[in-house]
Amino acid sequence: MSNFELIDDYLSNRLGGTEKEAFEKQLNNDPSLKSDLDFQKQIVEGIRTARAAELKNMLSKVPVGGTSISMDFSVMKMAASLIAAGLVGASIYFYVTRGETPPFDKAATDLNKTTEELKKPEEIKPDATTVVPDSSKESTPAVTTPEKESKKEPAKKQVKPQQEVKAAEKPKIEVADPSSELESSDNTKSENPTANIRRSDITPSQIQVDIDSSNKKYDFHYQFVNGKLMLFGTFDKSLYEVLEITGGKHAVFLFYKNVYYLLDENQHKATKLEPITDTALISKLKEYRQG
Amino acid sequence: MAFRVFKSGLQVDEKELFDRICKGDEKALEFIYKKYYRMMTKLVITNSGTEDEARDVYQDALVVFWQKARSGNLVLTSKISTYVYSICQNLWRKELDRKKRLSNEEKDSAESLDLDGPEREKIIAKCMEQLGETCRKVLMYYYFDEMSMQEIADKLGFANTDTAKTKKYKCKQKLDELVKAQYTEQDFLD
Repeated sequence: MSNFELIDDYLSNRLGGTEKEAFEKQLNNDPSLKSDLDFQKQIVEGIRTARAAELKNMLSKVPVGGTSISMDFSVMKMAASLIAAGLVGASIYFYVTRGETPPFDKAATDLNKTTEELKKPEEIKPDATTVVPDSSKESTPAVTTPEKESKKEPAKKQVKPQQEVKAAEKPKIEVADPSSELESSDNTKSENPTANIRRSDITPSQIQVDIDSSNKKYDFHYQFVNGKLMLFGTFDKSLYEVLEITGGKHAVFLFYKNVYYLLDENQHKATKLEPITDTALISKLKEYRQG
Repeated sequence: MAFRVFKSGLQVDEKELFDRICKGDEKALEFIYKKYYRMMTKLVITNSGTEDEARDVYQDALVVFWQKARSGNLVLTSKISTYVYSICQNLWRKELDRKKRLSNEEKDSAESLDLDGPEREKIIAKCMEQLGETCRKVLMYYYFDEMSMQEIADKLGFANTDTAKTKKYKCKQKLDELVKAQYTEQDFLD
């Protein structure tokens, strides 16, 4: 094998154990080989950097919003309606073909059954469609939080910061337990649609916000421009907060001076901010904000 | 190569997802990126990082995960999210540490001595751009993804492994020449 091939295989991790050892020995005794290796190493690193940049660029183009959730929600609702319609149709067909008029009580029971079928998918909806980071399958007792596993499972080649700095200087990282995102609410069975929102589904929004306080026409308005939220009016930066619901229906809210406002993400024209009046929804949002 | 599209909201088997990553399915990586975006970026944002830093750390972590999975050196004993989360933690800790050192003006000697490093990186990046798309891909798949010649031939539609091998050799030679010429030019200017 030529030196070129040897270096190439060495740098691309394609040399076996003994070959690698022999090559490293040879390196120590041959300065020109060492210099060739250093040059090739820079090039291979450059190729790797280019590929990493390409992958990152690819990921940057992936939309990370939660719009698909509401779509799935609608699909499920439609499926539920179809099942219910099918059941009603089948029961009518059954009674008609038998030529009997069902007793009123029995018919009522059957109707209740179909109503139950209709409700079921909606009741389980938050778990089935939510895009909380860990899937519902992962909520089994086998779930271990990353901070536990990270001790035994960090990347093998990862440069450990401990090697570089004194332990006392090591910055502390407050670990957010991802399993907390799986927490379920007791309110999910409620009839009120807003009750389906779980506390864990409401998060501080990452939507970028711009404030225009100089607009004379719009003094307390909003609009969405290319996914960015534009607020018109004399907003005090320290007093507003944008909240986002990711589970169930996707929605964005504004909290400003103790009042909540619903923001329609499809609103691309400047629209007046109207306070939310639904008390159940307000209490949910309040509950979240108070932590 | 045909990719299966992942639909949000459906449960995707972890093993299947990992297998696809190992086989180089970039759509699977995009799916993971989207699925865990909030959880991973939250780690950085709640630890004095900006959203941009959070995204950067998360993307770097996924690149590390991708490379390890692709090279066949990774035996996953935990969930993908757990593994990627631990990489994010390490990367962000490292970044915080770097920031701290910079603010204390305790630049270590290695950093201050290696001023040529970034310049060399720029030169190589520029030379990579001068190569054709196929050449760039062959080299990236060979050195970063550590694909076999067969995989490269399949992925890029080459007739056989010999074509892939020749292509890789020629592309590498071309890159070496370009970089050498630039280095010489740089030395001359210095």
